[in-house]
Amino acid sequence: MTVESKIAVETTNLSYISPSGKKLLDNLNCKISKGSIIGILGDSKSGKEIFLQTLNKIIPTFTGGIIEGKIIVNGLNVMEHTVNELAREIYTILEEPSLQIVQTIVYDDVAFGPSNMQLPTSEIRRRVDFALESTRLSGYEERNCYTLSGGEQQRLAIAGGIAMLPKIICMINPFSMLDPIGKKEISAVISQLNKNYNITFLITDGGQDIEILARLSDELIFMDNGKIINRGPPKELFSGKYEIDMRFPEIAELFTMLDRNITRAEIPLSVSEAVEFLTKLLRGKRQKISKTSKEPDKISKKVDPIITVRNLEHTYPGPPPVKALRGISLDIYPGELVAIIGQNGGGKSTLALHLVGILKPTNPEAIITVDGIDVPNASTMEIINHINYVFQNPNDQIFTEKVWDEVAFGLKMRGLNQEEIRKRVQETLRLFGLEQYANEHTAFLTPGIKTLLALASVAIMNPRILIIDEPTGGLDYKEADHVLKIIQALNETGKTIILITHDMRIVSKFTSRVIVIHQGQILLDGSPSEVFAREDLLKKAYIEPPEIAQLARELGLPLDILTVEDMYKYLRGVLSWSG
Amino acid sequence: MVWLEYEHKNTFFHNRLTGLTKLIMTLVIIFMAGFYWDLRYLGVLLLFTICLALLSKIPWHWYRNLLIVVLLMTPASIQLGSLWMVRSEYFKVLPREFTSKVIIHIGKLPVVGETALTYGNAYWTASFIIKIFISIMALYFFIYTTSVSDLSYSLQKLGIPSSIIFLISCSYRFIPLMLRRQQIVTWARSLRGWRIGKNPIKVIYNVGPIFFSLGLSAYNAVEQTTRAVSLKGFDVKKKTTPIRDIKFTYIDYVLSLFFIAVFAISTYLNLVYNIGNI
Repeated sequence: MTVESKIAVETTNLSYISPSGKKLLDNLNCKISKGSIIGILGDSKSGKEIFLQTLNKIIPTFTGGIIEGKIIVNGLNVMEHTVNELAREIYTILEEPSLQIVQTIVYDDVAFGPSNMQLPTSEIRRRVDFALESTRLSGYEERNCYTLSGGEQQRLAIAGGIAMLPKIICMINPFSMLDPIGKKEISAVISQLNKNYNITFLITDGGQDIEILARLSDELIFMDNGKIINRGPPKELFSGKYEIDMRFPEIAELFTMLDRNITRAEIPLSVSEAVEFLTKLLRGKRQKISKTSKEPDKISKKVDPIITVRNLEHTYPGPPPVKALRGISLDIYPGELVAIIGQNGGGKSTLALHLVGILKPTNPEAIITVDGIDVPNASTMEIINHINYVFQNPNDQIFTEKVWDEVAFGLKMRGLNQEEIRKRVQETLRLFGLEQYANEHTAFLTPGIKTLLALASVAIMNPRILIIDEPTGGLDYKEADHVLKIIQALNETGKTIILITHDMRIVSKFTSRVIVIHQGQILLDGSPSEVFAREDLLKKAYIEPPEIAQLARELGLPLDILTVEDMYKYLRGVLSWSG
Repeated sequence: MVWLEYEHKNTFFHNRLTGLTKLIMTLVIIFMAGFYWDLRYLGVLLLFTICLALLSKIPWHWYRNLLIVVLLMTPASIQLGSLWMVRSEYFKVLPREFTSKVIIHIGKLPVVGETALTYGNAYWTASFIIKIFISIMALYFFIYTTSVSDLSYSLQKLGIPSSIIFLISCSYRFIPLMLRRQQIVTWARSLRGWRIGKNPIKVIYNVGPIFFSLGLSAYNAVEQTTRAVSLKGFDVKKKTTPIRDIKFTYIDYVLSLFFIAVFAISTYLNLVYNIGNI
């Protein structure tokens, strides 16, 4: 009689040496139990993605380099099998979803894996339907994969993995491009698959979506420089006993701050746990203060708007035609830092592309005026003196070999003299903290540096308005914070910034105004506190307020409490602590 | 805007025929367009292909792009016709007095010698352009109505090795992928002041980086696609289950046999009786 092993993954002294001779995994010894959900956290140099890609031999098959040690996946010695053979056991959802699409039509793409497994057609259909429903893609069956938005493509990549029902699913930063409700839905799918099919999940994150991972995972693994630094249940790791070089989940962070003044059995990680604890603590004290000292941000409407949009419509020709914008009208004022949020495919990027003149309205009566320029009738050269756009994927923008040349490109195109270019490039590199990379090859930069480079190469052209599409997508939390600080600094110099984002933490912490777009229309427009107070409408746009805002609402506290700092200050005031 | 890729539509060709039948139809049309030079036969073939394209609801901008391709090729075709086909001995069916009649005398050129545009050249050029038109329309018909999975399954049915199927499938989706990428890259460049310019040397200088960037993207896309299909277990079992439940019905048999028969008969008539030749 054979006893089935309870171990899904086991690595013994696993090291990976890249073709350039760098040791990117260093003696990893790790056992993952079958049916568990493991979150793997670390920055972009931690080796977490490399670790996952060794488990089904993507590394070294496609990358070269040397693997040392042993990897056993569901009893199979990984090094004795091909990536294709391991597909039934372990499936990896890579970070860049568009490159994981192998068919042109949504249904076919999801069905591709099960079809390779030679499942009966009826079973393929059942699995595809289940995977599409789980990822909110039902109704998209016959859509062309490449006409989907970035977030929709990510859901498609996840659906492709789900349809194969392997024993282990590895996901590399799966939440990075999803709208808030999409993140919640995908975590629910992960829990459901884990519970119903006993699938083991290994999920990486750079700290941007730590809240989700902390609640979802049975265990968290922290990696740094190719090594496992800490491992344990989330509540234990965030209890404050461990030195963790990572952003804490917002609720845990709040309670770590509160720990100086209160005692509690274990750290809460969810809003409901926090509500339970704080309700007791605040009993009889809440009525003392009805508002925090922080006033909601007011948008100055005394000056003329720098951007005026009236009745903007856009229909993509199809077939079938897709109405992406349905009569958008808005004003944006000089110096504002505005966030545009909304569900994947809601029309955010389409609106942005109209503001820079790349797309033209499909209704002739539409008005788009930017800094006095009639955008639909102006030349690109004229428009970019006033407004510019940083694309979501920096790889779309970067095309020169060296960082210096990339930053200098826009100025060269304007025909500036060499000395002027040299001076301005130097200054921009310094401002963006890119001086040390000036002579580096752009292809080998980390995602964070690439994002900064894309931003720098547009900012050097000194437009008054900058639109930045998902500036923190795919970055770890340190890189994201660095990028956001730079954006804030640009805003402080007087530039109007429009951020397109799915990260509600960014919205609450950095922006003064939020515009919610839903199905090509403006659903809400106001300060973050005003917008996050309308949870009923936000749900329609697949948006969820940040956890601290949810906590404030649940506790009946002022709705302008949006960040951990706001909440801590409020509680300190109410409970009269001095610390 | 979709170009050169499959789009799901509710047409007879999309939903009732297998990829294999459509492949046979397309190949027969292309081969026939290849060996016919007679404008009368080519005209019939052209009409038939236009009907196929219209019935498959190919979007109008595909035709616009086709016209651009044909217009771009026309000067080269005329030149080719004038420089190389000038000798009336080339024409076996059309009367020599017609084919050798000069429309424009060009003069003596190095290597090719005496050169002129004759009625024969004009006829040849017109046929050549129509051949291109028919072949591209036939390819349009196939690409627009056949998904990658249908194509793979059809090739599998023909007993083609999976590695070759993989290569063909990759190229099939590669062109639209690169077209999209090229569009985004061009947008990103233009927002940084990049413009092609009018000076031909500057055009080369300005367009160069785009090709460099697209080349890198192409390499990356091929690598990533290989990775993606491996992750989905491609080629482990050598065969796959058809994703779409399109069965080889009597319509497929009838159409396939009809096209094969037409091809066989026309080839025979062409080789033996010079029908379709000029």
